[in-house]
Amino acid sequence: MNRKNKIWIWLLAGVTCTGLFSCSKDLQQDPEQAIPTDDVFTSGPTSLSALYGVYSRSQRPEVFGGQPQIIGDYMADNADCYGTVYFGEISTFTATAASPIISEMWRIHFDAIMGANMVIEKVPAVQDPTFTATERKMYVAEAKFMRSILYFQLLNLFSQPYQVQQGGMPGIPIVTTAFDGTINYPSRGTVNEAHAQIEKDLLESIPDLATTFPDPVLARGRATKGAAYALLSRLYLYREQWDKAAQYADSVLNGAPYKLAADYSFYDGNTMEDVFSIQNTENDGPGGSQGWAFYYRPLAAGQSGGYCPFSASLETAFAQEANDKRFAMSDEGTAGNNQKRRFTLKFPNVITFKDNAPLIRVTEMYLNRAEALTALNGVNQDALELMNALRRRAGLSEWTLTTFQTKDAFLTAILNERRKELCFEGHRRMDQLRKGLSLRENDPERIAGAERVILPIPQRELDVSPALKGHQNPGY
Amino acid sequence: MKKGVFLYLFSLISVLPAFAQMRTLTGTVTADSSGAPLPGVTIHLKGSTYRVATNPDGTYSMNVDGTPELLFSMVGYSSRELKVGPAMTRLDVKLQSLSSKLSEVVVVGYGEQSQQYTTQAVSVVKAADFSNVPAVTPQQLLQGQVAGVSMTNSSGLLGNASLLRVRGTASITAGTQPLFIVDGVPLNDGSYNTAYGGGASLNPLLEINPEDIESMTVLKDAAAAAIYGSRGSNGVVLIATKKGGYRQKTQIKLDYATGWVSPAGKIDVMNGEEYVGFFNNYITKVTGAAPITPPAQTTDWPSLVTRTGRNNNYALSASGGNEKTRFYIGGNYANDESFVIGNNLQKLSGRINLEHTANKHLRIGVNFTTAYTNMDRITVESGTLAPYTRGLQNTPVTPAYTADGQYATPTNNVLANINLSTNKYYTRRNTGNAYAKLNITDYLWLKTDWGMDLLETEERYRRSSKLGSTGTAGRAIWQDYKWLTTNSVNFEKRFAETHYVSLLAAHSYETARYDDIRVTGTGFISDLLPNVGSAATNTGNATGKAWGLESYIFRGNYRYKDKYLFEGTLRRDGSSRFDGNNRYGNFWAVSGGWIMSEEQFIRDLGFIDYMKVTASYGVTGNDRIGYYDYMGLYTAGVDANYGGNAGLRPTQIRNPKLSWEESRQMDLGLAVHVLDNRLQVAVNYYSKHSENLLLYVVVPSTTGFGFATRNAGEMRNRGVDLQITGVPVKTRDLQWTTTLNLGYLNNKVLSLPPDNRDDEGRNYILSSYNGQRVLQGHSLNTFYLLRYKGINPETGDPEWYTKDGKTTSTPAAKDQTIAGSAMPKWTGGFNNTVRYKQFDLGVNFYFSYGNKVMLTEFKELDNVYKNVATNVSRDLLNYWQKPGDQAFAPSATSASWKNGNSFAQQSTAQLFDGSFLRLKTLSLGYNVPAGLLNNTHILSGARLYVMGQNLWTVKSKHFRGADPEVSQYGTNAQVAGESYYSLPQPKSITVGANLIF
Repeated sequence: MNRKNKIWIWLLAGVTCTGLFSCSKDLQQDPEQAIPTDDVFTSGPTSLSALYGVYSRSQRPEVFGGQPQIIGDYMADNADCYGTVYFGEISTFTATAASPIISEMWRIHFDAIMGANMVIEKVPAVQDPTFTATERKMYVAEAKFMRSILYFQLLNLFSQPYQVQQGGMPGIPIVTTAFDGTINYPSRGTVNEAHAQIEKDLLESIPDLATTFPDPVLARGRATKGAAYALLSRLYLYREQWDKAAQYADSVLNGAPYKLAADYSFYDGNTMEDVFSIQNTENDGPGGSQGWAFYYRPLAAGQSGGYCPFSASLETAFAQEANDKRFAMSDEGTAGNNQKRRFTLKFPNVITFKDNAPLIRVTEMYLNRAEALTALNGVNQDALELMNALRRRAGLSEWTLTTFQTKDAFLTAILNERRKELCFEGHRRMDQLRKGLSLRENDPERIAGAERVILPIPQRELDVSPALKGHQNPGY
Repeated sequence: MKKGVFLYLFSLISVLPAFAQMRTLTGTVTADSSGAPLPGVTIHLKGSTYRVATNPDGTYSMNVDGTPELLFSMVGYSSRELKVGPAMTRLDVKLQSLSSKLSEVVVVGYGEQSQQYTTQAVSVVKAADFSNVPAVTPQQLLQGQVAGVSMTNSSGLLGNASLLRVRGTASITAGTQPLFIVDGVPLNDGSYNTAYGGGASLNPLLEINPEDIESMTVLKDAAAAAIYGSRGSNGVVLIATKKGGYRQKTQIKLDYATGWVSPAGKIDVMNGEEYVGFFNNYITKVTGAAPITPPAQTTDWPSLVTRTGRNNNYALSASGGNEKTRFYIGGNYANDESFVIGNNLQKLSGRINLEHTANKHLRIGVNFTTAYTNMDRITVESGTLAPYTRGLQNTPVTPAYTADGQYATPTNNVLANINLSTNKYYTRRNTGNAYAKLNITDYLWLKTDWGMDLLETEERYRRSSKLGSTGTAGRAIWQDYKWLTTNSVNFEKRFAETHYVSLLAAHSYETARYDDIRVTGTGFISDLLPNVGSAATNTGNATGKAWGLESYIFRGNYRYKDKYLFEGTLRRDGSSRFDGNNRYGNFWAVSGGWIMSEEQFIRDLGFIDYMKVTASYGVTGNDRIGYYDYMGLYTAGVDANYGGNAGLRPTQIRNPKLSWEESRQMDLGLAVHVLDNRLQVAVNYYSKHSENLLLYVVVPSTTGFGFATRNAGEMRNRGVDLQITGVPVKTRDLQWTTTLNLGYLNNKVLSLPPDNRDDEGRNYILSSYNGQRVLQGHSLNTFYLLRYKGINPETGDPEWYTKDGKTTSTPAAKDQTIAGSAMPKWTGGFNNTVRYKQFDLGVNFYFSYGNKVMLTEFKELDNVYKNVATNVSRDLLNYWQKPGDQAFAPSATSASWKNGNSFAQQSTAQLFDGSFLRLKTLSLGYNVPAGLLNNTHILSGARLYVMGQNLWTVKSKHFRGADPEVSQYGTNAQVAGESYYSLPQPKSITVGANLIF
């Protein structure tokens, strides 16, 4: 065969290959990291993974991964804020509706809520004979729990507390159906309406929720009956429905999985102290190289970058009784303004930010019940015993029936204990607002009902929703 | 398809006996006027792709058989077509000087056309136009060279993408970059970077060596771009690399340049003394902070983070050929340092282009380049530890070093972060194509072309434990591997002397697969361990995706008497990015031209040398959206996992109706050459109407999704491109060539989905960014801001305007109004080359007029924060103290500091006129005389030069930023003309030599 012919043969081979090149099938490309929505609610395991997706979204810094929690502390009087500008302006009450972090906080809460709505709506209809009715009900109940805790946090950030006009102030848009492609524009409703939805979801979920799970990660990290009781207790406490607040706190405390921890080594431990903690791991943290430790700690011991050190006010509160073991859980570090300041040690992991988010713990139930019982009955032995359990653990002297002359003095003391016990866990702002206290000692105007003690509805949402337009919180 | 294959095979076989006796034809080509031999004249065997070029002495030699027609063409001379007589072996030819670009052949989509006869609106930049300009990337060569192409260097960061726009912006949220094609291979132009990657997206042309480029053709109108169908809307840039020449003596070229780089501008912040004084007199009153005592030594942060960067560029190439083979081999090594610490770029590339004529029927060739870049990158300008940003933000009382010479607070110290970490970015790229061209007859040929663009980018970072935690590291590899094949049938024939017909039919399939793999780790026992594998804790991640595009391409040209020109183009594209029902789209264009100078009545006028009018209309598309945007999706991965269990979460709204974005473009063109071609004017009017815009729209968060991709909206770009080239002086010793390029653009958003309406009832899209908004009835990049009035001289309070024009000190969001556009009305270049004896002088200007620039850094530099200590702009020293003061800043006790209405809040106070005129390059070269060169016996050419870039800029006197040429988000269409501590353009002085052996 001569050279020329060889060339021809090669060419023909090339041309033949081209002719056989079948292309149309390659124009159907399927995603590799995702599956079409229609294929998700087709089996028990995929339904469960969609439920895990809701929990996973809640890990985000903008949800239960630190940001709303630090705001709960530094917008209140527990912490100062030396974070970036957009965090700083919230602490000085100068945030604007254009704030990207507030906008993202709002958006990602609803992102998680929509995941929950999908589970609630789609799971009952899944065609999978091996998917039991108990499992289905439990998944739906867990999604309802998640929906309610998400709405509750969002409401606390963006709406005035119940104490202003008995819950008659504007609430937040509530969506309880899965998104089907048609954009609706829910309006804000009232705080009471939001509370009613949260209460309904929690009450409906209780019968179907598990009591606990064998795996400690899931026992503390998934919604259980105890978690729903606990959240109801907090809801009723915030609404001043004292009997129910006390009753549901008691339901938690009587539950087998829960017990007050003997010391403060329980953080990130998934112990019986935890009622509900969003679980973070080294490989699966809140995301964005952020997390609780990112905000509450300097980046490394003795070095700078700390966003949220103790406020002077919190240091004073601890200074009033020496040797408080809770104060011992702190050290000095350099804050974002390059000054030496005190930082909490509750969330030490500044490497992978894997500390769990302790959203509800047994201690809060002690405090809820003590406060509620006192509100109902004045200074009383039951409440004293609950509080003394906490004080013993903190290494402080016990209280007696004669320690407090008045109900109000006792309530103030309970609130002070609550502050020291739950500091850096995001509770303080709501406790101050619902108790009529100013968020700043030196500025009596920062009380519930005032402008700018709640966050602005993001401008983006006002702009795209006719139902929200014109319903910005006053002052923004 | 099968039938076609048989036909194809049959036609191949049937021409086998057609091989005939070949003979060698030689001759000399000389200039008609002077009789001087002409080197580099292209001799084209008509009906084939066989081309040779004349040698330096004007001689040529080629293989012919029978009585072929030869086309002799060369820049500046009118082409001649001659028929070779039977058995003729010598043919001497004289060419007439033209001093115009008419006779040149330009590269167009899937072929070449004569500039004289094309009906497409294309602009060509040839190697000769930029060979004196050392450039890091090819786009820079286009700046100011092509009318209608607006090019903004997005930031002075090395390796960044530029904002390149061909005739405005045809899309709002889908991609707006033109399609870049190198020797027929469309380049991968995805973005492959992370937060550590620094700045905007990487430049898709970074790995192309500018020295290797023969020409760049910008396809501007539908007639030109419709052949690229669904990817033509943003214009197309065709890059042809050097190929060498048949029968050309081997030429070896060495270029060396070395330069010094500094920033083209700067922002003034306070020095130590000013800051301490300002803090104690002003900031303490605003924040209630205690006064500070000045430290023994203050720190000049801006100069700590900048330096004089050095760069070196070496290029070595060889090109030439014999009767059957031509080649080009090029190699390039460049080493660039930015003027900002921590930002360096090393580039190494090699190219081989080879073409072999096997026989009269078969020509095979390959173009291949391999490149490697190695960058030291710095964090994005918005990152907390970006050096340039921190250099301006850090107060002079923030120490850089402790007393004993250690880094002060290393975690938060930008110097420590640069010096105690590595942040590498590598790219490895192999781009090339191999082709075979088969001439069945002298008017019918087949071509098969197989191309690839294999891009691999890698990021490696390692941060010392001194920077917090116990050390972190990461490595990520992104791969984008593209393959394509194009097979075409071409026909070109002249009938009865008056009818010229050329036809093209092609099938093309292109597919690319993207993969990434990342590992991050934390916890190192020692900083001596550089790799992520040594970490205590590792996390890994890997994803992949792919797309495909199948196309059928047709083009026909018809020319009558070489004066009436017609062309039609059709392309049918099928893309994997759309659902089955919308998968295929048809794109087309028709165009016509009339060479009026061929008509007697024009000839009679006497002074017009050439005159052509053209008109075109057609439809192009844009498919630059995500790979699977039409699907409703639940995504797996770490963002969905929980407590060690695999999860899924909803991430995308289903949208099966998603389809192509289409642009309908009309173009009217006129080209006139007068005064013996010494004055050439080309003017084009266009109107590009884009519809079904692929919009990434904001939807209420209550849907669970923040955004959705939809086809909605219409936009129009209208404008005029004008290019005037003149040769005002032309003597033996002195020649001055001048070119003015001017692009006028009017962009208007015609309609948008009615979901979002503002207070005035206008539809709009909320951008993810704050300063701009897309408003129906206005330009795409419309700034929508509070109008800042200034400081009230009586009260010392800042004031703004309400919507109805009243003055207020407490503005609200509803007071925002339209405040201008970031889109320039006029852009262009003014380029001059003067040659005097052995000297050449190049003076190139680039300008932009009528655009606004938003410098968001002043929201911070003009602000006083309670909890964060940052340096402030020096302008704040002019603060209000007593009634009557015409102050820049409010009084320290102004209520505005307390009530959230800081004068630095986003408003027109940060908006500036972005018009500028910039002396882009100024170069002076000396060409060593031939006499001297001959003495060396090896050199045949030598030029020594000195060049300055960005030496001088005229800008608005109110402009407070470092540089008006800025676009923070690189290629993002929605936020052109915004800056956040963006690096200014580099100002450089370069000296270099070009040697030819």
